[in-house]
Amino acid sequence: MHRVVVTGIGVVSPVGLRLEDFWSALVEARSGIGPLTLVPTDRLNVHIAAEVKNFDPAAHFIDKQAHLMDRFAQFAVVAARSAVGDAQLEISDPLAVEMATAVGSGMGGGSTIDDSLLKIYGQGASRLHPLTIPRLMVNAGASHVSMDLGLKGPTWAVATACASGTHAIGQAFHMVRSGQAPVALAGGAEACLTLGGMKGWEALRVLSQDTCRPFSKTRSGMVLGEGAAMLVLETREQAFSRGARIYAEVLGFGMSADAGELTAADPDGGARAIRAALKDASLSAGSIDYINAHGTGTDMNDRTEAQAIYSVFGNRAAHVPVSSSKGVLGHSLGGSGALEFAATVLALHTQTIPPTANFEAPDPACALDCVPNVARRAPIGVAMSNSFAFGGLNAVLVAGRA
Amino acid sequence: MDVADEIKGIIGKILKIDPEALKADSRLSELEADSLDLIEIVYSFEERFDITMELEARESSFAVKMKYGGRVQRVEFNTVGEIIDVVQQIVDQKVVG
Repeated sequence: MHRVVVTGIGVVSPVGLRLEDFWSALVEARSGIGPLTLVPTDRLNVHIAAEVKNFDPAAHFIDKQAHLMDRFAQFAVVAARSAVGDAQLEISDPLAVEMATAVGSGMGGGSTIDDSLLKIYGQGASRLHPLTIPRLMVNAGASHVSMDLGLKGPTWAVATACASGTHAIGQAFHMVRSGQAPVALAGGAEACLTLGGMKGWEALRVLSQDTCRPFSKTRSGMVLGEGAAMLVLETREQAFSRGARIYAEVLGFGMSADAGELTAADPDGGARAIRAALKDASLSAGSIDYINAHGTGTDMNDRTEAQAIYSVFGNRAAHVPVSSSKGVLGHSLGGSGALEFAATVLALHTQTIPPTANFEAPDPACALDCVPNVARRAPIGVAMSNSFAFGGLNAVLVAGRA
Repeated sequence: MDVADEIKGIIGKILKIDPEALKADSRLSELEADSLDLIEIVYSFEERFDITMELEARESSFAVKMKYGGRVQRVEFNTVGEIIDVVQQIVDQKVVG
């Protein structure tokens, strides 16, 4: 068993592509939610989203490479390059063939799916572009990261909706811990802001029309976002031996399934994933100093998540700082778990708890210390990041101060 | 613009090379066209000329199944000139048909 540390983080987020911009927006509760501009809104009830602004593929790819990729895969590759650069990791043989790569995504190439269906059904086209399938496949993110960086080791994609990024990081962590790979590059990516996608989410009646206010009494739903985060995980020995900067140590990963309702989260399922992560880390609930919540801002998620936290933490639940990053980042589905684990790792690294943005009023159904609107300096030894996906698939990561 | 120029334009656009540099005897393999490039090129011909091309790509040779010399056969095209000939024939057959 190896100890596993985070040595590199790369993000493509609604509040910037640079890690400093990402973190300062989270700490200052500056929301990346704004008008939806990527698709026409005249047929939508919801006109807001957390878009990745000014993302110019030409700034990152030559034409020929960009042409092969849906926006979600472009996000994955840009975040992966940043993470490897941030870790100052040199990828040469034999590392290139040993390193693991895992990229989560909820739906894969959303705009490719939308565009091609429009052509076939809407415009009566008799044929589709030959790159339709390679662009939309849910593993395209993992494949392009591997091709772009020359990573030839174990490489896979994970699709567990809103927990995809968390599952990817958790599995990669277990591989490094067990010695199956000395280094892993793992995270998630999503670019789901298409007309069809928005219509689908509208139909679920979970989207807010104004903004995302997690845990607030006045919360009105979730806001869709997009983005990606990739993290470099490596054994502590290797990080020490190459003198790498260590952000935090990954301590545990737990998973569970609700086996209940399709879209209604079950507090027992969430609680079991939290307990599994604590057990994997050989820690008790008492050691958790901060929880980065799933906190989508829907009435049901936040209530259920509070119940799950109460079920594990007991009376201490009211006193453990819990914040959601979704007021700033929106909900980028398969990207969200990775972006939020990046935030959790940065909280440990800077000993600063990022607040829950847009918080207006406490809700007795979510009687938690939500760290409303203002960041808090606090000693954080161990932190936890929750992701509870549609379909009842839960994933929780635990990390500790380096 | 005649069909030949349009074909060169499409090939140039997909392979990111100047269409002017394409000669009749330029070989696709020398232009570093991979199999994905080829199916994109064929797709673009189909879209542009509203034709259907039955592509048969095999190792290091590209071909279409088409009516040629009065019967359906496999016609190889490995150079720009051969592509122009094949596409021109299919377009002409469509007009006649």
